[in-house]
Amino acid sequence: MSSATKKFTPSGSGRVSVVRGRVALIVILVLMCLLCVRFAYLQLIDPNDYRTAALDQYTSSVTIPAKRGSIYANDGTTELAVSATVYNCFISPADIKKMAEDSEDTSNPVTREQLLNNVASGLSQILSVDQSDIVLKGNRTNSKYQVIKKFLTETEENAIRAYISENKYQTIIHLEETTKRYYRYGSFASQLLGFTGSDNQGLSGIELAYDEYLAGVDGKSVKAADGYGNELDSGVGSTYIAATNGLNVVTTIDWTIQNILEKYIEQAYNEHQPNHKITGIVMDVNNGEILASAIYPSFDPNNYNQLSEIYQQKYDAFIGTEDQRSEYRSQLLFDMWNNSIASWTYEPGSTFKIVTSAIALEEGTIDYETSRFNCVGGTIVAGTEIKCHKTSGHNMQTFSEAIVNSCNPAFIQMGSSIGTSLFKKYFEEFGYTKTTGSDIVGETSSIYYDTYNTQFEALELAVYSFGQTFKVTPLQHIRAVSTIANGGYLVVPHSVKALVDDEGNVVKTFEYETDRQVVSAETCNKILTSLTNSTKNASVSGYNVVSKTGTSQKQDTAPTNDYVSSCVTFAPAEDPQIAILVLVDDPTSGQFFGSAVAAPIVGNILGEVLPHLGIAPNTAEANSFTVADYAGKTAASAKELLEASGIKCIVRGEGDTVVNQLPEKDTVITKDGVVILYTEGAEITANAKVPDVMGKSPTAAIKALVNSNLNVSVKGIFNGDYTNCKVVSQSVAAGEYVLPGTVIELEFLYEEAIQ
Amino acid sequence: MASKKNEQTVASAQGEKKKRSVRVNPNRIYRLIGEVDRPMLIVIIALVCIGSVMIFSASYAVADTRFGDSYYFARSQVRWVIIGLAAMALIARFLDYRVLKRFSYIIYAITLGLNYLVPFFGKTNKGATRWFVIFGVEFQPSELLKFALVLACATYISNHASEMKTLRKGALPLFLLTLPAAMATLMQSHLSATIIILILMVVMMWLSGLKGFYFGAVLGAGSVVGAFFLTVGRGILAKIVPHAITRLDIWRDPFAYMSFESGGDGWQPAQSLYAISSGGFWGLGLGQSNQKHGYLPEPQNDYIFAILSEELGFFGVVCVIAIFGVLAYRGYCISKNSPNRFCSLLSMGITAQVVVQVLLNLAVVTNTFPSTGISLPFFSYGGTSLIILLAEMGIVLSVSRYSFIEQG
Repeated sequence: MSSATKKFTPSGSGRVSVVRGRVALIVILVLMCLLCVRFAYLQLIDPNDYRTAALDQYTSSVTIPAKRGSIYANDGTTELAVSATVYNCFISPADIKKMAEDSEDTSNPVTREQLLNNVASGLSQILSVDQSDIVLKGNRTNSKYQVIKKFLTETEENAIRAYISENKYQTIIHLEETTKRYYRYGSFASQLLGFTGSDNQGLSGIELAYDEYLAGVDGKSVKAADGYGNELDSGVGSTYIAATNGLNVVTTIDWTIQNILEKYIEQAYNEHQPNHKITGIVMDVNNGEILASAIYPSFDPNNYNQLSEIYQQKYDAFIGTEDQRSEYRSQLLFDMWNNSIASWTYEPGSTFKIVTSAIALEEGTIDYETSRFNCVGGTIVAGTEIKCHKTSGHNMQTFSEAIVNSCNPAFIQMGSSIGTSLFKKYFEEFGYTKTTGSDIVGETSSIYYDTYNTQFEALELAVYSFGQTFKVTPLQHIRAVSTIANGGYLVVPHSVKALVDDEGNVVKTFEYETDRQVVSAETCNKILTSLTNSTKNASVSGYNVVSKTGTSQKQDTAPTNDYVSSCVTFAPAEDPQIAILVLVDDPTSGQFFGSAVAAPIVGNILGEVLPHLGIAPNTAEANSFTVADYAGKTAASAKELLEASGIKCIVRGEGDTVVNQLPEKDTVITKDGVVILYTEGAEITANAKVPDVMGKSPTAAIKALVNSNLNVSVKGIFNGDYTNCKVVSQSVAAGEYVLPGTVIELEFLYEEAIQ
Repeated sequence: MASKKNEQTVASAQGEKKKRSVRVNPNRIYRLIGEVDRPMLIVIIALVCIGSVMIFSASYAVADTRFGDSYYFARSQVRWVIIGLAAMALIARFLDYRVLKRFSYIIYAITLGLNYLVPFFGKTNKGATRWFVIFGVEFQPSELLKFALVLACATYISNHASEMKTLRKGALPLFLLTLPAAMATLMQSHLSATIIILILMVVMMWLSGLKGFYFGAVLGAGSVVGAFFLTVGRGILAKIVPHAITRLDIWRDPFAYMSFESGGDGWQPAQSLYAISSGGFWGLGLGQSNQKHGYLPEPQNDYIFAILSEELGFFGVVCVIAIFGVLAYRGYCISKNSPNRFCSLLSMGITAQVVVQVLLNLAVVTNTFPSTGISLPFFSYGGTSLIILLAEMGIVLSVSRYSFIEQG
């Protein structure tokens, strides 16, 4: 090689040394090889860190929120709580900075502060968020995610979209999809349904109890974007994991019954102004399904952090330091959210006498027919005098009389016949010592002899016998007394019966124990028979219902006279389907007897609930008359027709033909009502003066109204029994002038001072 | 050796062209279109083609985003390629190196003058003033300076061939010749040009026949000066070349300087490493780079090779480096077979200039060397530098043409 090369070097030409050129070439080639090694290292030997980092910068992972399951009423179609897609608005302070920097080279440079201020003022106007808050968040220049407002309204969302495109703020203002919980009917069953937090997690009620089913599983979308934020063509690293929607919960809540319950509880609240709440439960006695559960004052779970009106009034009336006020506010909030049917305890009072009776009858310590109970207005147990509510005494009573009279000495006698150990055994078997095992969150323990390790001797037994000095939850109590209504079985109250998927397929049903018999059907029937229609205020014309009222004095607030007025009712008496428990915690209207405060609420509820449940009344309503159209008829013939039906008829005007009438056709009036017919020329004037019938007996009240040419519709009269009741409200105030024939609604209350 | 057999074959094949068959070199110069070195021509055309394809591939995303026209860079580059190739062909065909040699010092002087004017009349971009804008075309005189220096050195060395062995008469004049060029580029804050110019000076000294001992001394002195600036004299270096120290810090850990807060100067080298590593062996496929979509800034410029690495992988990288290797080899062959010392030095010098830029660019792209702003010959976007480059390749080709003629 070297000899051949030399041959070509022309002597003396002064050319560059071949060796030097070759060395230079070799150096170059060696350096190239070294670079190849460097590339090999980067591309083949150790590429993974950089590759991963590169992939990380292309891809961004977005959580696809799972749609939270809906909550349905027991028909499976009425939506009580649903999730809908809404948007959160966030800004990217890092991109604000970047945009400001990028603008330096343009004709229209802005500083970061100017840009941020522009954005902040724009957003604060649209979203009504404090501008300084936005500036504060916008100064976190490392961040790309600062939420300005969650759950935008549609107007806000559209305004933001317009604002973004108008100002080309695509990189710095963003909307992110999220879901918000909507409670279709506002405060409807609010404490039972509960609510969800800002991250759609269940915080209370059914939302919390069934959160694992409702929540679903969030999905994930990993998208690769280029440096400008557009989707990368290569789609490198992109994945998509679909979200699994949450299951829908079908509650046991009957939409109609719940509404009825809420309506009358609110009405009663306004009437009796209790210091605390009114709680009502309607339960299916056979399987423990809670058909309705209402607590007033309620709240709107759509804005669960806002005190509802009544609580707001309490808060406004509170005087204290800022800290105390905020402390008080959170107390009020927790009280407002509290589902007191399960997480509040009270002394059941006389309604517990059902249980005492059941024990005594079941164990045969008394005889239903032959046992007699003497009451002289009080009795002395272990040296302590216990009075009966009727201080003059009930004298000799049968069992039925004793329970209808709600005579304390009689039940003390019954209790002592049972004895402490047997009583304790049954107290446990009726489920008072444990939580019910229901699906209601926050069920609290009852407070009884075991709680403080107090002794349980003759005196305690005597007081327990009429339901005082121990505290149970309304749920425990309605469950225990419902055994009487279903033939002796202890059911588990619950609020949810099934889970369904979005196609409506039932995924899971919840089964609860229903075969735990505590007392025999025979015992139950005896008690049902004794109590049937014993409380007229809780009764409904045409139906037989079983009620027991209670007025328990709160021991823990003694010596002030704070009462819980309650009424428990089973209907219909022949084959009870539902149990209703209504508790008015500390009424301030002056009335406090359960029979006067709680029972009318139950009566009102039953009046609507029983027809809704399809339970036919025993006696048809024969006392009503539907007004026909008499226009065109001769006055004489119309009058004849009406009077034949027993309706009082008044003809006004000189003409022969009827041209007008009051009341209008199709109005339902009573058989002792009045119809006014107008012939040609007669003038219709509101000349009927409404008389004052408040406090009058039904007969007197109806007579007074008919005499004033007015019609009447009655409420609260049980099976036409006019004895011992009086008008407590009239729909048009006395002294007002109305059209003749107007239907005046009267509400009656039986005066039953039974405790 | 197969030389004898070759002689006969060629002799019989080209019998009528007697002159050409007289002497055949084992490293013989092949010809295309008559006279020029065929492998060199093929290599140049191959590089220009691959370069143009890569310009399009690397730039279409950024062109679309910035100008709404995916072909913005590719179209203009192809235009320059055509002009450049035409220039190259003309020079290769018609240039007489003796004319070039006669005016070499004048060319060098004019180029130097232009370079000294740049700081006063040039266009400033990103804090450096390196460009003239003539009729809307950006022109970087330092590109021309490298060539002019090689030309001047080649002229000096060939005129003083017998004296070049000594330090005083060989190395010192070359150093003095180079010094104004190095100063000019420093004034432009164009450190990469300074580095290339100094490397070219060393290459020319080596090729001039400077005694090995003295050459070693020059290298040693250079190393000492370099070491001084990088250690004790950091402050001085920082004064001469702003940001030089920062560049060194970024080179050590580019990822620490990616964020806005740290100035973001580490972003480009870091993204370059991401791109290269993402390529693997076979690459993501031509056009499939992710990095060019707004991650690696200006992918059509200095860092175009990172996109090539990502798209064509290690395989593509080795192929392209191999083509540059062939270019170096053919440059060496042309130099060796040059008719005289000037041609030899000129072709080797120009080849070295191109290859040094390639080596430095690849070193920068792989973060083996601090980021300095060296474009990749035949690949990086830029009209004037491509035309100058192809013109220089035309000179090398024209030299290859002469080597044959005079051999005959």
